Amino acid sequence: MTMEHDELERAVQRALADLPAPRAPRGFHARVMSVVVPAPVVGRPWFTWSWPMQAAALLLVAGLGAGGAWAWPVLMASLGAMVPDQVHTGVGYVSGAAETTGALMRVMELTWSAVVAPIAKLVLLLTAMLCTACAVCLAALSRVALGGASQS
Amino acid sequence: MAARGDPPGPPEAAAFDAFVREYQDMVYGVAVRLLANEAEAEDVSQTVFMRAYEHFADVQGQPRVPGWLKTVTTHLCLNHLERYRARWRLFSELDAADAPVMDAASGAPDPEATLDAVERRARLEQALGQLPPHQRVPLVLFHFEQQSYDDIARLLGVSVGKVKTDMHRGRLALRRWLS
Repeated sequence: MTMEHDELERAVQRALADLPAPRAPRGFHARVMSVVVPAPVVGRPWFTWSWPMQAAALLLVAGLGAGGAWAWPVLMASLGAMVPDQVHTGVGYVSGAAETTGALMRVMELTWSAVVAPIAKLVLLLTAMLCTACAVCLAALSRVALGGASQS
Repeated sequence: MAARGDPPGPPEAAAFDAFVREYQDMVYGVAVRLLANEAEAEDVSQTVFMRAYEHFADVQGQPRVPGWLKTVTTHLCLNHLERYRARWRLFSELDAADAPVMDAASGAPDPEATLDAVERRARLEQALGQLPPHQRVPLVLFHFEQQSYDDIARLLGVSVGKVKTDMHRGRLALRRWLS
């Protein structure tokens, strides 16, 4: 009986030793790394950022938009004033292109003041409101649905 | 070096990436043989690496890393079996001592003499996975992890006699697939 027991143990040992070692599934490494090591902030979607980062990003975008809206007419006026000077001091063959550029700038300035500027603030405000609404919805969704699933 | 519990920074994240690549097969191999379930083995293996990540500053580059990983994997697998398979009485001493020998492959056809080695190994692996956990777990710990009967009994919280009986029954069930 003991002999049979020992023989069986050795036979099982030999047979199991011949089995190939299991290999981790192909996507296992990526799965572990995505869970364990968080992606850098710049590589993650905005709605996964912490709320101070989200607020700061919103303020930055709003500031850039407001600054652009305020500076654009001034910039256009400055460029428009600079172009004739360059034309006067530049070589002759540039003058045609400079005049064209100047005319283009004036057209753009007129377009800005007549069409874009009146609605720019409204569009900016609307965009900010939509972004905020989307952020609130996504944050709520990730907390209620996605967050609960990922914790299980 | 990062303090204990600190998440690794970018340089250590690269080191941890290599760490996972090096040990993922070993950890998963232990888990899938103990649990006999690929999805559960993946979950447990992921938890093992999360533990390793928490202690990465301590375990990185240590020669005892494989042993530490195997120990953590074994304990997590046993916890998993106890927690999620409550209906099965894990290593109860009340398990009927005179229960008939479990034939893990009773539904399968008898092995043919012409069965080639590859198929025989596959059948053996399958039969091992179909053993009840109280037979499979000590067999895996003994034959794959080279643990002694005493260590297995201590780990499972049962008597050495119980371990030997369960393992013998498991071996009898695997016997038909031995070459």
